[in-house]
Amino acid sequence: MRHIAPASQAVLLVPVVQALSVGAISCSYYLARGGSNMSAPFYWSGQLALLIPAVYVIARYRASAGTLSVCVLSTGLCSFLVMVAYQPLYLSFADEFQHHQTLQSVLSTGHLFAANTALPVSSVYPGLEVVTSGLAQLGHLPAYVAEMCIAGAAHIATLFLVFGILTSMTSSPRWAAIGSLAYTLNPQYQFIDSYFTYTVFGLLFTFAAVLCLVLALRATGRAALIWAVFSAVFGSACVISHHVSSFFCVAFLALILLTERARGRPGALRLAAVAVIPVAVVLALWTAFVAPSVISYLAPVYQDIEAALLHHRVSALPVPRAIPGLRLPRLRSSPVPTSSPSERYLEYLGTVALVLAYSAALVTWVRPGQRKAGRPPADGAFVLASLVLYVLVAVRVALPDGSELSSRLYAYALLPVSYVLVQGARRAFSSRAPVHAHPRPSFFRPAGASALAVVIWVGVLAAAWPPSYARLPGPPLAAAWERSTSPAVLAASEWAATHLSHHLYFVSDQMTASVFSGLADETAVSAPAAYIFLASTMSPSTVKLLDRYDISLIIVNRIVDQQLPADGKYFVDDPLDGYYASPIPLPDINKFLKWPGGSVIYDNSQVAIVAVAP
Amino acid sequence: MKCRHSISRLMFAVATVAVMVTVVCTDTRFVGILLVLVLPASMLCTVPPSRWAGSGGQPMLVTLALAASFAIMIFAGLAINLFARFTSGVWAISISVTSLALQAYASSSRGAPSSDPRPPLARPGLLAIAVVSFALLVVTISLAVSVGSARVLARKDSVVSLGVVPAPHGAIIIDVSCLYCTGENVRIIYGTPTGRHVQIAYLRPGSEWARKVSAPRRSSVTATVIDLRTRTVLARAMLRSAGISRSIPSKAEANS
Repeated sequence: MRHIAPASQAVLLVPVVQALSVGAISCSYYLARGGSNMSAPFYWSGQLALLIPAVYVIARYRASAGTLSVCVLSTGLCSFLVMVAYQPLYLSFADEFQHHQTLQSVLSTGHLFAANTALPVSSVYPGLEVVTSGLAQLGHLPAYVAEMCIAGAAHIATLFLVFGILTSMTSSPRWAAIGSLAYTLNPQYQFIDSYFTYTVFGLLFTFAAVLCLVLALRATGRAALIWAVFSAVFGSACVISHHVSSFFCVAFLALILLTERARGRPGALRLAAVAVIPVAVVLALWTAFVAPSVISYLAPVYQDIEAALLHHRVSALPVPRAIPGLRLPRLRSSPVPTSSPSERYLEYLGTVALVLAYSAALVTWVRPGQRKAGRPPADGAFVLASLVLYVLVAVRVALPDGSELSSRLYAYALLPVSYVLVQGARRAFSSRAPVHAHPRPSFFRPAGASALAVVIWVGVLAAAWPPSYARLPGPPLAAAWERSTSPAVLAASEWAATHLSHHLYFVSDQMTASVFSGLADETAVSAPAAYIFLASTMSPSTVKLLDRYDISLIIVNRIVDQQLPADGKYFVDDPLDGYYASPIPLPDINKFLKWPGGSVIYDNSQVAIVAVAP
Repeated sequence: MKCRHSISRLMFAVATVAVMVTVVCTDTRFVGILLVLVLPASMLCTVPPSRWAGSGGQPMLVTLALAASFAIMIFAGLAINLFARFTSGVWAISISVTSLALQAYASSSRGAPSSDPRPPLARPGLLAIAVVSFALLVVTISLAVSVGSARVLARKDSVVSLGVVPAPHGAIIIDVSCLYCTGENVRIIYGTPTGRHVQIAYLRPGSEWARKVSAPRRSSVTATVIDLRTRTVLARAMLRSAGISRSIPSKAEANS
């Protein structure tokens, strides 16, 4: 039997502590479902135990590459299990329903590219659904089980690829493991990047392509070419799987080779011809002929960022106004933010700590006078790409929904940022560096690094998904994302999927609409929903709206007359966003049920489906 | 030594084909899952280690093999989409052909897997095995706790939303759903005698209504996803065949 060094034994405690942290978080979920106030302490202690001891132990003790691999594997697995424990019985996030619809259409028709009523671009990026349908069909697995298996495998493998990239670049598994933990400082890592969405495959293939290109740069001759071919294969798979990831993948691979060319590395152009140009061609062809709709899908996001950052224009918040024919509920005088001030301050504190730590590491790593020959391949590209962190912070501050957008982009930016963090910390720690030239700041020591990680991690958790009102599971809430997916809504959507023809136009509140779009394959019409629901009666103008949008179904979730919207708005296009002071009045909801022009074809006491007479 | 490698590779190829044939012929669940594992396994075991040199150790090879298997399945899926429907049989043939091609590639290349000084997948000591097992046990118990409480909450919601409502005498059956037939209730959708609204009732099994609606339900079980109007026509036919005399008012009659 191989002897395990004492240091390795200490590091092996990391998986145990992380498993116990998953246990604490599961207990918090258990208590929250029962309505206990003790759930929050369990949750926060579990979350802190998930990351901080790992940072301390790995920074403090030396361990073998295999032991560190187990720690990274454990981190990826435990973060995925936190998401599974939140809702282990069914899908709960709106984006997952959109991709579930694509999967169901592949399973039922046996072909790709069928129209998706919930997210049209999902069907033209079918990589995730192809693999999941293969597993579901070969293993006769329920769709949900296959979805969780594939999403979990991709999520864990992604973190492992980060570990591989950083190992290849730093030649130190220990620092690479710390960098992998730094990568998890992404507000959406635990949930959004674990969900069954095309992002998980986009990240997986992007990082696989980057790893192969880094290995190609380290190798020579035929081996370099083989790694470059693998990079092209993974990049092409990325193009078929996710739009934003494919753009990032091509740009980052090109940046790596351009910086290497600038450094005078021989063979960079040959590697570009093998690894980058084929992926760029596939991306251009795919976007032009298969997925042209992605341009119109992403254009509004780009325009918002451009307007906010370059022209300092921010979309004005909607102002409630007296609309003829609408009986408005009680309104507030000014919109109320959905997150609490204390959590916002924690988020700001964490962001400032991250930016300061990154800036210190950047200055330490790129300090003039360091030998450039000692820098690993692709170092320049990683340093340049890491500067995006400043742009993301600007996006967070400048845009009204900057928190969500910036945290989604963190998934890509934190790879180079992690690299700079570990290289800066490593140089500050390095015994070869002259002490008088590079004094070691205290936060680079294990305890200091752990304390810094606590501040950043708490800030990350404050900004993390799900939002604060849905952070813990429990009884259904109105307009609360994961907390709005209830058995009653799922039963109604299953009934509609079985009994109604598909692609019918319908109106409903935002969360119910997302479930029905995904599971029942119906088409949600968002523009008139607020006006139809807020109308006091089914007046001729309201009926005219139904006719104009060819609406066949009105789906009424009675939770909108019982609770205020946790997210500030009931509908996608809600003129009263943030202003609601009381739920929608009950008579406004009952008008559908008593309307002679419609028939209640389904009612489970929580959700009713009203068929509009043709 | 070389002969032993050839024999093991041949056995792996024969096993792959056997699993593929089993999936195509019997479409068995566990055999299908085995076939899913064949692709990364064949990539890992048959591609010469010299080609993977410097990739960062054996766990990284497993990760890359997994990602490569996903990529191969995606490209295979695009190809299948051109010529055939996605079925387990087509997937089985696709994965098997890919796996055999990889093995052929490995046979034609230099070097043999076991001649490489590559360490085995994992060589942990007893302590490491104990630690990881304990962690898995804790995680399993944690998930069980979460699943249990989530089920309790879901059942509580179901009880609220699916109350048993007796159908009023003389109500008109419009549709029957067997979504909850396996439980304690049979659900039907009925119209009130005034013809104004359609509502839902949950009938106790064995009641007169349940007996009446169950017979036509069985006879029309082939009705799949059809639009609302067609369902109404079918429901009328079902009612007549069940001997229920009242007819369903049309939309115009209901609105008048």
